[in-house]
Amino acid sequence: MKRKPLPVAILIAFVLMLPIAALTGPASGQDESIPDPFSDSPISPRAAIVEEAPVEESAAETVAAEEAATAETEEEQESDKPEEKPPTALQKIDSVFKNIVGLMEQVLFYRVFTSEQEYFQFEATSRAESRMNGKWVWESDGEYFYKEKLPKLLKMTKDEAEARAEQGDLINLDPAATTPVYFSVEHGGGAPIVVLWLAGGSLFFTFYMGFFNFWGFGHAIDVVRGKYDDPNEAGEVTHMQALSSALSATVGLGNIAGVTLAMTMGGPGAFFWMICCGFFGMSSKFAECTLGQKYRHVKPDGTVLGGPMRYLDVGLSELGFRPLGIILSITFTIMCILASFGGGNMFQANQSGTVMLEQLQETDKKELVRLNEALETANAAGNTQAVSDLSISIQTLQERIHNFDVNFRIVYGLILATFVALVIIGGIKRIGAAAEKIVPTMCGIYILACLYIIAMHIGQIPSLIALIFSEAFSPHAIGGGFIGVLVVGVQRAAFSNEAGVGSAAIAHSAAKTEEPIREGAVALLEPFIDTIVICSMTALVILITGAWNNEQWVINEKLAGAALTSRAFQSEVWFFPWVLSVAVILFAYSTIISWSYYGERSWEQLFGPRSTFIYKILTICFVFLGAVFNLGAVLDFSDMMILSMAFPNILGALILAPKIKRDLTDYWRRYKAGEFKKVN
Amino acid sequence: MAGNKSSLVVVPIDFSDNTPAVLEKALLLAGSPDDLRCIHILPNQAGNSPGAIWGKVDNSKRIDAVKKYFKEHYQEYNISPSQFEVRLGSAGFAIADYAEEINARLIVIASHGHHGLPKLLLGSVTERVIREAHCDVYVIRCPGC
Repeated sequence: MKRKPLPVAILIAFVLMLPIAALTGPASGQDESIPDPFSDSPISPRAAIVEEAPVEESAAETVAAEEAATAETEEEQESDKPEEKPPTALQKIDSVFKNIVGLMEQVLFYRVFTSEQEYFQFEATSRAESRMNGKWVWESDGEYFYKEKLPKLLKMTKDEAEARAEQGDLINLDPAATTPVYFSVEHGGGAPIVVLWLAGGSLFFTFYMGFFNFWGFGHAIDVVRGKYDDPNEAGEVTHMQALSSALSATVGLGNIAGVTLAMTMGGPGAFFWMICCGFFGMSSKFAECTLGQKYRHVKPDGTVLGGPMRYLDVGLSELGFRPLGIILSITFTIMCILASFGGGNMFQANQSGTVMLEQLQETDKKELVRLNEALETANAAGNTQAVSDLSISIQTLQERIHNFDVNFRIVYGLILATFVALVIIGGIKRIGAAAEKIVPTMCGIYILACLYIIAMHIGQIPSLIALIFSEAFSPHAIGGGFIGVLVVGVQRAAFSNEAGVGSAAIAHSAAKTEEPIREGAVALLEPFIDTIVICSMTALVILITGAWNNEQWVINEKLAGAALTSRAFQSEVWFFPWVLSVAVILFAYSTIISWSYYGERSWEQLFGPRSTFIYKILTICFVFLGAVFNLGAVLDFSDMMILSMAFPNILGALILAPKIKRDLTDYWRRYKAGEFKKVN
Repeated sequence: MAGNKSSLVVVPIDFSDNTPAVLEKALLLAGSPDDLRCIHILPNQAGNSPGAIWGKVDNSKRIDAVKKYFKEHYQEYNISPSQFEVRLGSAGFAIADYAEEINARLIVIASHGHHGLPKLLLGSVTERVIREAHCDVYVIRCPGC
C-alpha cells in the first residue's frame, strides 16, 4: 500500500496557502488607502472608481485602459504605504495569486468580436469633466459625453470634431469651445468569452427545448405550489423548499450592488438586456437542474448527492465519454470548493460587514468630509491656527473611524463565524432554517420598498420605458454601442442568477421527486425571481431616482454599487438604507450557508463523506478571515472560480442536451395524458 | 484474553462493492449465522443541507433509511434487523468501540473500502480498526482492491 506523496503535498499546500494568503490581508487590506470595494468612502476622494469597484467588477472590466488605470492605482497605493518593507513570503504568495488572477482574467474575459471604434476626447478644462466608471465625461450644455480613456491619442482639429458631431458621433458640440479636441481609434466593444459562453448556452437551451421556459412556466408554478408533491418519493425536501434553498444562494449582493453597477455603466439600455438574460437563463437553469436530479445519487441514509459533479461523471460515462466526464467532473468539483470559500463565503462576509459599517459610520464620515472641506478653505485663506486645529480634529476623527472599523470587523467576523459554525458543525438547524426562511420575507420587504419608490415616481414610467427600449438598441450612455450595453446587462444578470454555473443543481437535486423534468421546471423559476423580479426592482429604483447618472453621487462622491443603491434609497425614505443593510446581512448569511452546502457536497464527491469536517472547519475560518480582512487577490481568484464553473458545466450539459430533450418530450406527453395525479 | 470473548463476529458494512464478499466470508468464519453483527457508521449530518434546514432529514430518519436499505439490498444473507446496527461517528473508532462493547471475538473487514483521495486524506478505516480493535481482525484481500 504505497502512499502517493505528491497529491498529499498539493493538498496540504492548497489548504495552507489560502489562510497564509489571507494573512497578507492586513498589509494591504487594512490600509486606509484601500476602502471597501463596494462603497466609496469619502475618506479617499482622490481614489478612482475603478479601484473601488467590487471584486467581481474588477474582473468584469478588462478594457485595456482600465488595466492601465488599475496598475496606476496599485503603484499609487504602494507608494502610499507609510513604511516600505521588502516583500515577505506572504506578500509573495499574494502576488502569486495576483498573477494567477490576472492570467485567468485574460482567459475568461478575453473579448471576442471586437471592432475598431472611434472616440473623441476632450482635454480636461471644466470641473464637470471627470472620470466615470473608467470613462471620461465631458459636459456641454447639460449633455454628457462618455469617452474611453485611451493610451494613444491623435489630435484633431475643431472642424473635424464638428464634422463628427454632425454625423451623430457627438451631440451638441459647443461651437464656442476652445479646448483642444482629440480623436482616437481603439479596439472596443466585443464580449468577454465567459459572458458569451453563458449567454450562448442559455440561448441554445432555450431554442433546443422549444421555449420551455415560456410554456412550462405555469406548470412550474403548479409544482412549486405542491400540487405534485409525493412524500414517499426519494429525496430530502419538497420542490418549494429546494427552490428556497437554491434561491438563498443566488439572491444577495449581485441583486443590489451588481445591478446598480450595470445601470451606471450601461445606462437604461442595460436593463432591457438584463431582463432578456434572465429570461434565457431560465433554460440553462432548467437544463442543469434536470440533469442534477436525473443523475443524483441517493445514499443509503436517504440523503442526496447530486449536481454537476455527478452528471458530468455519470452522464458522460453513459454516453461513452468517461475520460472527458471524469476530467470535467473533477475540474468542476475543485472549482466549486474554491468558489465556495471565496465568492460564497469570504466575499459575502466582507461585503455584508462593510455595508453595515458604512451605515454605522455615516455621520462620522460626513463629518470628516466637512472637516476636510473646512481645512481646504482655511488653507486657501492662510489661516494657520485654523489649519492646525482642523488637522488635529481630522486626525482624531480618522483614528476613531479606523479603530471602530477594525473592532467592528473583528466582532462582526466572530459573530458571523459563530452563527455559521452553529449551523454547519453544531447542527443547530433552527438558525439555518430561520435564515433560509427569512430570505423570501426579506425579498418581499425589499420588493415592497422598491415598489414604493417606483410608485412615488409613477409619472416617469412611460418615458422611462421608452428610454429603456431606445437605449437598448442605440445607446448614448456608453461607448461600444449596442454590443457594449448588451454585454453590461447580460454580464450583471448572469453573475447574479448564476444560470449555467451549475451551483443550483446541487440544491435542486435534494428535491423529493422521481421526475427530473419536474425539478428542472421548478428551477427555471429561479432566474425569473432573481433577475426578472428582484434585479429589476433595484434597476428601476436606480433609473427612476436618476441615481444612475446623478452627477453629484456618481462623479463627485464616486458612489458605486451597494453604496449608490443605499444613497438612492436614502434620497426617498430616510430609513430604507437600514432595511437594505439588514437585507444584505441576511442574504449574505443564507448565501454562506447554502454555498457551504455546495462546497461540502463537492468535497464529499472528491474526498468522501468522512472528511467533510475538514471542509467545515476551513469554511468557518474563512468566514472570520473574510469579514476581518480585505483579501483582494484571493477573492478575485475565487470569483474567477465561480465563473469558471460554467465551462465544464455548460459543456457537459450541451453534450447531455439530447437526453434532457427526450425526457422533456416524454414527461410532457405523460403530463398531457393526465398520468400525474395532483395532490389537490 | 480470548477466554472472555463471546462468539460474536462484527462485520462493518460500507455498502461498497466489496460488501457481499465480506458478508460471505464472515458467514464462513462465524460459528453460526446468528453470531454475525453488522454495523454501518454514518458520518454526522451537516446542518446546512436543505433536508436539515427544512427539518425533513434528521439522524433517526437517516438511521431508519439505512436499515431499510440494508434489508432491501442484502436480503439473501438472512440477517435479521436486530443483527444490524447503525451508529454515528468516525468509522474506524466506532467499529472498534462496538466490537469491544459487545465483546466480539472477531472483526471481518475488507482491506479497502473507498479508494483514492478519501484514503489519502484520512487513512483507511481498516487501518484504524486494526489499530484500535481489542479482538482479532480478519482482513479480506478482495479482488479489485
